[in-house]
Amino acid sequence: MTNILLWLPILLPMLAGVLLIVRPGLRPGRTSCCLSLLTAAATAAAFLHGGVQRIDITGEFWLILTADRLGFFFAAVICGAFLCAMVYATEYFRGDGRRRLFFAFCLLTQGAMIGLCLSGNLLTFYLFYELMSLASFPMVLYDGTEEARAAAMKYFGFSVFGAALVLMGMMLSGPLAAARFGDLAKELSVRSIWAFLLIAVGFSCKAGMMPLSNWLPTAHPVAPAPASALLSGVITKAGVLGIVRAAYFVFNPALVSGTFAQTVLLWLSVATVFTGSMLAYKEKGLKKRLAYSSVSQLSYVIFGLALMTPEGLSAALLQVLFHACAKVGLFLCAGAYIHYAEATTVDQLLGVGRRMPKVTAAFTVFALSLIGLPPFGGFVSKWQLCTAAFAQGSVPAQMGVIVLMISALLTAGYLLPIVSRGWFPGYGFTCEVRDGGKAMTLPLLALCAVIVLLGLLPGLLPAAL
Amino acid sequence: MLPIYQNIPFVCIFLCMVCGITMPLQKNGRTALWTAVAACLTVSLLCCCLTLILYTGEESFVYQMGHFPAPWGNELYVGPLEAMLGMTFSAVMALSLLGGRRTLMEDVLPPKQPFYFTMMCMIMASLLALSFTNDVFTGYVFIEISTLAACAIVMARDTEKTIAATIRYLVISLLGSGLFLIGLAMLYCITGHLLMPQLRQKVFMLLVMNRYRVPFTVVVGLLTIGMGIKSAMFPFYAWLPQAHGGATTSSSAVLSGLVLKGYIVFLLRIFYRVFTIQEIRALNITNVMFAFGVAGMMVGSLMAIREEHIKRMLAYSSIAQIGYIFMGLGLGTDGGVQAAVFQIMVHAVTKPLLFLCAGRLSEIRGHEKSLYRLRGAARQDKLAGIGFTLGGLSMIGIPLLGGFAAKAFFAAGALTMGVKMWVALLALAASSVLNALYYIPAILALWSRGEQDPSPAAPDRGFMTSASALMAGVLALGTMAGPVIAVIRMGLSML
Repeated sequence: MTNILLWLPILLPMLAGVLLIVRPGLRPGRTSCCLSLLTAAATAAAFLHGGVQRIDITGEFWLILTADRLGFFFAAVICGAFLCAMVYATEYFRGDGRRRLFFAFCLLTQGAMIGLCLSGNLLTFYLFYELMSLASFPMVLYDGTEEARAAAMKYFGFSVFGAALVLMGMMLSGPLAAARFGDLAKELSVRSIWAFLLIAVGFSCKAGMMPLSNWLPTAHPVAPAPASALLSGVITKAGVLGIVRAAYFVFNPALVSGTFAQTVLLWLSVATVFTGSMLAYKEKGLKKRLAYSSVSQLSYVIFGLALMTPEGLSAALLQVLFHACAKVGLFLCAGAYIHYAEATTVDQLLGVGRRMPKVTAAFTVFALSLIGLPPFGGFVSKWQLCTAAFAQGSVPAQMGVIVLMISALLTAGYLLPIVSRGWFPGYGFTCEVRDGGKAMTLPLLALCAVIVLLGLLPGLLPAAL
Repeated sequence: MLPIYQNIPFVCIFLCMVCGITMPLQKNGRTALWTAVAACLTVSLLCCCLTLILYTGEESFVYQMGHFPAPWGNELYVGPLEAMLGMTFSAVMALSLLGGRRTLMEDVLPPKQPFYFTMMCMIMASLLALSFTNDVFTGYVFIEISTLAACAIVMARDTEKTIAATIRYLVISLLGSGLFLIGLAMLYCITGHLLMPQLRQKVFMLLVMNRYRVPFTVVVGLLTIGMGIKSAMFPFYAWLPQAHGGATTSSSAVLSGLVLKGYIVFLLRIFYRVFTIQEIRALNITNVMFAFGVAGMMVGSLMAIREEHIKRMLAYSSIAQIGYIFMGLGLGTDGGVQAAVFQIMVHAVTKPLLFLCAGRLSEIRGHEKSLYRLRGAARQDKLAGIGFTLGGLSMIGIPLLGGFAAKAFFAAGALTMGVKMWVALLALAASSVLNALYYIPAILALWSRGEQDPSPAAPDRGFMTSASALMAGVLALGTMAGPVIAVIRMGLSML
């Protein structure tokens, strides 16, 4: 019984995705929204039921599926984001004959990502990680133009390269790659530390950390808006989950902390936070700006994780949640602007608040949360991040606090002008109101609600994340 | 009284040869094809039984031909490893013939078709003989048979290009066998024996006394380079892309998947049964093989990235995959060699699958070979598309497929090696990226929307059977690698 429950949330969306590709007759939008909801229910059932399943491949390595609290947290974020994006996509793609392909690959990706959350060792994680890359890159490819092709290949190339680094690290770490999550290493040789660094850098490629972040600003603008939202909001989080699993569940955080691997990760993430914000500040295209913003914001998460303290971990997880909500929301708004106002650059967004008040209101909430203003969620996570960094107290960590402050200013610098110019275009601005429909505004409303509610009452989240 | 199963190796070789010789008596190509397929399947079945018997009984045996004892007689040596390789090779041979039969019947002139199958049977016989023989000179003879037959199946598609490719292949191949023969002659001069166990005793004695070290280095070097040339080791691969890319589908599948492997298996058996892998390592030959192997992995993939012609792309990919095998041998540890043998199995299954699917897809599109012209072909024959995708993903190293298991074994084998470990791991990682860089665009192109509307092509039952069987093989090697590696381990420890 356990076995079926653990497999169901992975196989259900995948089979549905394949069915959508093979059978063109189905109504793609509604079907996949229902299926996504079903998947969420199945996921909840799997995690409530718990249990472990192990499948031997050879004597040395095996696959493990298991349900734990961290996995549940990520699965909840993932299911929520996918549901929002799919509901939104029913309106965004209305009348597009090829939309079923988008929904199909969306479901496939969701299945692979639930698999990531249920993985019980690095090897299983790697399997679903590769599957996720394979399932998600057709979403970037959706437009089918030469540019989209190039961007998709770039995304995939970076993914494979990152995965190859992970693979190399896994091979280096030997038995740790097959060890069950939670069985922490007792001691680490220098080789294992190198292995950890390789794994962390490999995963951070998906999470857009600096030396390997180049795919984000290329892939996001060409992908359709719901796909960019998913890419930026949750698919990048798969890399984060990988780092969490590797650092806190396989290699022992107490042993990793103080090694060169930690220092490298801290410095890289701090550098990325700064440069990402800088690049976003300079960028004129809206989606590209948001992509750079993701690069910066995700490195907050990696920074928190690299502190290797429990406080760092919980702050990073909060940041995961709030960044996912805010960034999915921002990209969905950007999609609405493209769809209804035909605005792709920041300059074209003049007066957009008058034209699309509902969407822009949501945009404002997301922007404020991303900057980190109270009472929104982003404030909670950033506050905790700074506290954790001070508590840890090493040089790069303290440096990180300063950079976090600067980056918050920069974030305000690249998001607030859009909001203010959107609401206050100046005298003599006239336009007709043409706001997003229900399917577009409902997901935005839900995301806003999560941000505000959990921002006001962070205690609602279980303390022991 | 011999146990009856000990006759199997001889019967297999003999069956293939007799089949080959009688092929010209067959009425037409069709009957010849079915005879050859039936023979290969029989051999595969027999070898399968033999593998099971030898593995469960943990035994290996020497079969004396005609019951003549050592210095005069000719011997076969078979353990579980050899039996399993024989099983794989013959099964893949049958499937390759079956899968490419339609193209084959168009490419080869009808009166010549039976001769084509003669050559295929000869290749099968020599592959088995190279895996089973206990006599280095018999090995040499079958190397030559295999070379000539391989040239013939390249040339079977009678075009200018294939003839040029064949001549090039022939010349370079003969150079390789020449070097190998010189090596054997030197070995014979030093030791006075040709049977492996006797050679082993003499070589062991001389090496213990620390004599003839330089000549032995030269001998091993010559044998390695000779076989390296024939199996497209890194600097000697120039002949391969034209020969494998230009031949008819079945030929390409057999050449890339099997013929290259026969030579490597024979070389490996010489290493283990005449020298030992420790001594080869002491002679520093492994370092050379390692370097060539790693270079081959990189260069093969880089060339494949630039290639537009789908079959030549696969041929270049073979060079990279052969590089893996030599890298594994070059590690010079038991783990590395086990991984290399596992890779031999994986590649022997995967590459024919890829070639058959590519051949099928190009057949649908009127024998176009360029990836540009093949856009959307996979939509017309879904099975061929899925087969190509699966094979490509296995090459990239997606878990649960054979290629990933092979990479994992290579990494495990390299773990204790210091600098070599780093080089090997880097090479493995880089090579999976490089593989992705050409397989993924190819797969994308095949599945994308072409200009032609995808009317499904008429089904080809032979192709469907063999593609499904090979796909099952790739999956089985990925998910059930345990028993296979156990057989390899046992077989290598008995050699």
